[in-house]
Amino acid sequence: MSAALALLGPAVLWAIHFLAVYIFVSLACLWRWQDATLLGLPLIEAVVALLTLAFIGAIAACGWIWGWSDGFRGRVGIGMTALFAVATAMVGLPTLLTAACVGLPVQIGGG
Amino acid sequence: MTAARPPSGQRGEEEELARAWSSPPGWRSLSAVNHRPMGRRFVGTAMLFFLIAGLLALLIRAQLAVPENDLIGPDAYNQIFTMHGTMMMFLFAVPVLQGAATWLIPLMQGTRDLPFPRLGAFSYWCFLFGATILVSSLLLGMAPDGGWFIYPPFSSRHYSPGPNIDFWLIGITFAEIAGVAFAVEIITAILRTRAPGMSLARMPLFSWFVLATAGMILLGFPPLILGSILFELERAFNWPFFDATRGGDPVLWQHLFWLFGHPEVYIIQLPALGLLAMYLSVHCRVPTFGYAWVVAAALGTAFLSMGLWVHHMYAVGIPQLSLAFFAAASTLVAIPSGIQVFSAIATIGSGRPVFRTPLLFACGGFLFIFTLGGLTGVMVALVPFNLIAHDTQFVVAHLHYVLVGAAVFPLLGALHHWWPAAVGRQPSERAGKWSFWLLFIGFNLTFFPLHHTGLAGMPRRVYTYPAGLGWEWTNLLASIGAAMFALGALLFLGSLLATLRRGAARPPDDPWQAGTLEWWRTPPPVYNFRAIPQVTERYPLWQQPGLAAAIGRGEGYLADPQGGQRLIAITSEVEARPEMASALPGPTWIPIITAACFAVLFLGVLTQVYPLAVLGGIAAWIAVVIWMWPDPDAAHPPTVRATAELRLPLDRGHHQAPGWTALWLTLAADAALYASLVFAFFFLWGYAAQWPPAVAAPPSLLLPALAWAPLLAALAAVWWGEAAIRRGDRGRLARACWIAVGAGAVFLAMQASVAAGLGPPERHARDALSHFTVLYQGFHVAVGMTMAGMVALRARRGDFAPQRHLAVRIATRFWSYAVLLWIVGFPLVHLAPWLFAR
Repeated sequence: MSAALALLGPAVLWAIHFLAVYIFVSLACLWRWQDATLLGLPLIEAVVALLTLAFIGAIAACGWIWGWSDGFRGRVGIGMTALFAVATAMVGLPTLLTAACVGLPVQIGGG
Repeated sequence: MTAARPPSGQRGEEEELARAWSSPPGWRSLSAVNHRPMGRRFVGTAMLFFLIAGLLALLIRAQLAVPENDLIGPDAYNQIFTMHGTMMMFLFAVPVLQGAATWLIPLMQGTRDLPFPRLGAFSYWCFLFGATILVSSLLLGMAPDGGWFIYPPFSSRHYSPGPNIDFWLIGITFAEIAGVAFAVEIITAILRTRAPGMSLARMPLFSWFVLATAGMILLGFPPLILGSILFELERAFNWPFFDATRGGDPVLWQHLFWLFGHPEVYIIQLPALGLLAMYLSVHCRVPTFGYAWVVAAALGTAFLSMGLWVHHMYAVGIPQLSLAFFAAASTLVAIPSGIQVFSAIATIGSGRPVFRTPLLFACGGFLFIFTLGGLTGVMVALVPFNLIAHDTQFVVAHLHYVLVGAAVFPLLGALHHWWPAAVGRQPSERAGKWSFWLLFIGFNLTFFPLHHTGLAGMPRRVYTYPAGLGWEWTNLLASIGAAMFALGALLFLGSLLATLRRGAARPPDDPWQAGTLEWWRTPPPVYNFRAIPQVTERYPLWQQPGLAAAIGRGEGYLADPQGGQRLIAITSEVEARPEMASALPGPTWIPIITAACFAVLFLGVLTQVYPLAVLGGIAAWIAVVIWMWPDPDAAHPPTVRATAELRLPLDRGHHQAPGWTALWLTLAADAALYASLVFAFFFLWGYAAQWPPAVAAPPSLLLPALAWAPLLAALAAVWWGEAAIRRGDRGRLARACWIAVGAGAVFLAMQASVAAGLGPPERHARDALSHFTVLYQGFHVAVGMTMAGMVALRARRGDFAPQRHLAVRIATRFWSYAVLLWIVGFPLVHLAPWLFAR
């Protein structure tokens, strides 16, 4: 179990973050929350930024725990941590750089 | 624990081993289930399809060599390019690597076979029958003609009324089942059947790459299997999953297809790169540089590839931010891919390379061609460039550079490298090098100019083009290159086959001086290993002097077949400690019969002779029950002798037997399919134009709510049965299982009544999805009833004991899973009017 966590933990966290952000932004745009705010900050951007920071922290914790392991497990654990910390940041970053709900298909609400 | 010499009588043991592991000759060899015949069949059949698909490619290039060519008409051209792509992706690239893994993994891991030989054989026959159905459409002139992704609505019954698309859906679904069966078996093999001492850190890189690939198959194939079933239901019965006028959406198909389709690229690529990593280190005479980083890169690629599917759909009209997520994930794949490329360069740089044919394929094919494909991959991952290059010949060039560079060239190098082990003949270096250069120059001549053709505006999938647009010379060059590539392929394969003639050179043992176990003897004997070795290093033949000789003397585990049994060792997942032994089945007709029954089912659907399909389904059910029906427990000893000092329990009925691992893997694939179904509900709710359906009043919830009672009763009964057998009470176990069967039957009857009250499935996509979810639930309950019935019958004849009742444990977990499915499915179906309102 610990080997599986060391090897796959960062990747699983990235996958959960990816899905969470993708689903949240899709639903938020569907429900037209693009102008909503949270403590004065744009809601969608704030939630995605918080989620991204939280998941990068969790991935880093994985690296901290498993990076101390000896040999193979430690090296693979560090490699996976580095890769998926960057990957999580890359997925979270666009929300802060671009408007969230531009380009939504026009047929929503039809029927 | 140290390996010890087995008892005396070694010569006799060796002969007994050979008898135990041999397969019958002649036509009865079709009943063989050993991994090596299966691997050879997979590779041979896939190479045959490679040649046919290559012939189709030559027809494409002949047609496009000059403008306004009338060699092939548009209808035939559509069929040809569709079948070229479909065959290369589904019938060549994946199966050939399945074959390579089936053949190599047990040998590399120091064991004698895969843990479920009949499942491996079933996988092959499913692949063969599915492929035959698909390829027969070419001969009938009814081949699929909608591109390898057959997008609706172009491929819907309205616009494609013939059976062309049905051939694709039926044939591919059948072949995909083969893929999932392979994944379950190979993951179990990699995790549970490595030689004692071969910990994860000592595992061959190929095993890591195949492990990552099989995980992707397990999660990536089910969305397409679901999509194909839904699409066939739409075409055959008018259930409108993808019909925008009735609550469906053609983009749903694109999501389901590419949820499979993009991981598919890496499913093809990773095993080939695993092969390359193995033989690169042999021909460079050093261990692979950065082993741990390469493992991380393989696992990282597997995960990242599951988050890229939308990058094939940039032009569909997806929200900008979603495009940004997928663009980010797409460019990220360059990192693990780069690690693999730099590891290969460093291995060559730090070693003493011998530029034989395999190394040429590695350098020219992988390092040069794949790197170019990777660079254009980063280009098409960027949305603005993608929108310009979308559906042009640039994409044709890019995908061929990636797939041929990362899969075909490494694979051809691997064929040359492992040919001596596979057939006991040494391939010709001269022919190998000549064919490499023909292939390499021919490939680049074909596809490099197409980058320019695409950027000059030539679209894909057009059967001809007018003169004067600047596309003439690049197309002509591409066609000349294709002919050269074909010549190289024929020379390569012909020279390999020529070694099979009488009198061809036979290799010495370990002709390349490799370090992994498959080379302990060339070719290895039919039983793979005289004794299962104790492994202490990553490259055992390099780092454990005298190991090959020790294996030959029978020093290790399970040297004695103990009455002609096919024994392998089952080890722990991480450290590979020997935990038990498994006695594998010998030749049997049941896999081919079961696959044939499924073929009848699929042919019945294809030809719309539904009684035939029902007959096939019933026959398949009977065949599976016969397959799963074991000898009485009392007929088998509880333990076998592993070494002079060590006895291991037989895995039969053991709680931690490989079957337990396989259960969870199978459920993971099933859950992936179900998750895709749930995604379909939510996607259509969010994006379909005609939603929700105009319904006067939602149906009553009373009967659906009452149906929970028999379902929960069945679940309670099987758990009660498991508690009984833990106390050794077989009678109570049998009674509990019969209660589960009865409760399941009541649930099915109530569900049938509930389904009749749902809206007609032709009316709206939501109704169609609801009916499908109810059917899916019913299927799982029926499977659970079959399991419970078999457990009850086995308990009556005296099977199972407090410490050995794996079949009972599997049945209880399966029932629990079925209930979990309905916890998700019930609100989707019965609370839909409230859940999916807008």
